[in-house]
Amino acid sequence: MKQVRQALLVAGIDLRRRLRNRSFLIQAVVGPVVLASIISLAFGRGVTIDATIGLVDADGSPISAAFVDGLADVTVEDLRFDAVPTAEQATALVDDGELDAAIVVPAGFGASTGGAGPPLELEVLTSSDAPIAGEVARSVAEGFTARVTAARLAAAATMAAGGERPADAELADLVLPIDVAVAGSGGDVSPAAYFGPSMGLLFLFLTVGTIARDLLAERRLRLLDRVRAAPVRDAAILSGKAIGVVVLGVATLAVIWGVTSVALGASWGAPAGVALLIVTVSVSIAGLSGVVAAVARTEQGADVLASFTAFAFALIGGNFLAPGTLPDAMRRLSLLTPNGWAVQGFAELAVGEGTVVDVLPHAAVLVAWGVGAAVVAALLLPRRIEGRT
Amino acid sequence: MCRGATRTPVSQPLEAAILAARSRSVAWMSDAVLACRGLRKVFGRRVAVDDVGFAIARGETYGLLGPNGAGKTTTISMVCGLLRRDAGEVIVAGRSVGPDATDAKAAIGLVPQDVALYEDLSARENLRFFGRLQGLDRRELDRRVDEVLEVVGLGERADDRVSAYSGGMKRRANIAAGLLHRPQLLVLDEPTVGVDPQSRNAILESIEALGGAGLSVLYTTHYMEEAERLCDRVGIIDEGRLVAEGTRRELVGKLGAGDRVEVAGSGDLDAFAAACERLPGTEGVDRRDGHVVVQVHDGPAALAGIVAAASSAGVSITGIELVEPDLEDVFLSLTGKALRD
Repeated sequence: MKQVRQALLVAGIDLRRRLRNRSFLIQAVVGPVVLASIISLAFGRGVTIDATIGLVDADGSPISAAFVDGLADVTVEDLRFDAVPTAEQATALVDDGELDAAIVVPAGFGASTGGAGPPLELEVLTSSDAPIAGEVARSVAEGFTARVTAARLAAAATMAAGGERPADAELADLVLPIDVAVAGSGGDVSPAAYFGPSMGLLFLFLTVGTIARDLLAERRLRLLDRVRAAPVRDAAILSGKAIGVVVLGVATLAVIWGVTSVALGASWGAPAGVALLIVTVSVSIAGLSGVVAAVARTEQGADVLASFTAFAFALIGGNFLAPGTLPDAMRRLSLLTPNGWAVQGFAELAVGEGTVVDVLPHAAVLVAWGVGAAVVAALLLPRRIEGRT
Repeated sequence: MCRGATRTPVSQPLEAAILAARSRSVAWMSDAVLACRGLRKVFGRRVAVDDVGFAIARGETYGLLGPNGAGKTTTISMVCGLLRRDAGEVIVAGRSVGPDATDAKAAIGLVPQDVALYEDLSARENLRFFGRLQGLDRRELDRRVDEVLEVVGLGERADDRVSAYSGGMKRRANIAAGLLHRPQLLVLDEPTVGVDPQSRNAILESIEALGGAGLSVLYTTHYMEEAERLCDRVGIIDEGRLVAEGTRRELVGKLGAGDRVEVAGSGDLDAFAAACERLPGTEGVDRRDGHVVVQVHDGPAALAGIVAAASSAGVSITGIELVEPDLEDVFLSLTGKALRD
């Protein structure tokens, strides 16, 4: 009990000092709020797609005609499809920027769907100036070819059962209609709900360096000696430092949550889930602070190490990109980082309308990160604070 | 009791002196507030402290005198339980000291060399924090904070941030934090380094008063004058080893050297030096720029003869100084180097 009280004393003095440190408050609270606000304003109410995609029917079969005609009338948000007579014209229009992308149905495509071999492939024309439109065109083409493949399988099954090959018009009916929907790009979700926690996490990871640097400075100035000369165990001192970091992380993210909700109208999702993620990600940050303090030999070294870690984790973990925009490989890679789990957890709550149960796995991983890092720190830090290394 | 227990032979080489210091047994005083022996600490391949032992009686001020890097801070770090020792034993107020020996630590008040205070907090806030860490309850804490702030003369500036203090005020607040919990042993690690002369004198007066009030003090310094002024006994430490220990008188006595008479004058100084060499009790004569330095067994007794020799050699004396050997000379004799090397 005495050691717990002493740990709380250490945590209390650390928090009091940080509250008086304007630069720390700017780094931990003002910075993420401002950055999240700027990004949110830049993206308006959501990530919208404003693109025109050309459709070329070089085949003239019932299937290709159905594909082009079916899409020509589709308009989703600011996404439009226009019929273009030839592939050459489509290429020129994409090059000129008149079209953002185009899909070409090659001659013989319809006939190939009934043959024994694989059907001819659709051609997607993209522009480096409109990568998102290119991705949309590619997705639409893949969706269409998937339906064609399914229709071919159905036709093959009919023939295997002794039936006749369906006519092209019948195959076209099997393929159509084609639905185009833009999912996960915003809708009613404010970007602030994503970039609020995302920027908060980035800045909190940057504060890891400040916390580690302070610990090393306390050792250099013999302040740590004075604390350790008191009848208090090293474990209580380090626990107090960790408690201080957790409280700081919770307070920082809670303020950002409040500000983005009130000022920017962001909805972070189920409050219980948000609170759980805020606490657990703060635990992971406390553990990482200990590791940085244990590994860094100097205060400058702690800054460099923490900055590198923060930006590397932010890039890998997806702090800079909206949900759904990461390639699959990056999404998997992001799960190697604590902030990757946290970001995806917050996105689950905000975008996916998840509940606290949905983010339990995220919370468990974050706690595991914190505990694992704390164990490493506990093994290394006593040598560091004693000055043996 | 260690007082007067050592008799290191005069002019012996350093290694012989160390062997003598090692071979003696450190007396474990029944009334010792601190007793340590066989302390050893190795960092990598460097032996920072080797077989150091001494004891401090209740109310005694003990000085560890040695140059920078001699092992003073490492020694007191082990004494205070901040650093794990590779060998040896430390007993404070009857309890063994180690990093987790909280009972023994409660008897120690540490004043580190640097100003170990949170500069963004006031002196009062600092003291309240360290006092609560020491286990003082709120009521006693408030009273003690006011008391020690008055003792170090910071009562009126108690609520100012430490960052706003002068260097001397910070040092005094630093000492106050070490006194807060009424320790039995106050450990001061070079508390006057980098302090202006006025503040330095105030700090030394405070420490003299604390020693006079019966507090046991372990004081490290590389200033010979401070050790001579403050300490009842001095341990001379060099290259991690305690090479001699005793009162000032005992240490100078071990040196076995007499006084030095330094004469400045004009005229035939060579003839004057030759005359001095023939005087009874003269142990050596040296010529320096415009000076003749006469090493004698008994300075006051030799003065008259030296003045007469100057007169007979036709030398007009412009200045004469009698210099008794001090701890600097003892250190030089034992280690072959000056304290500030």
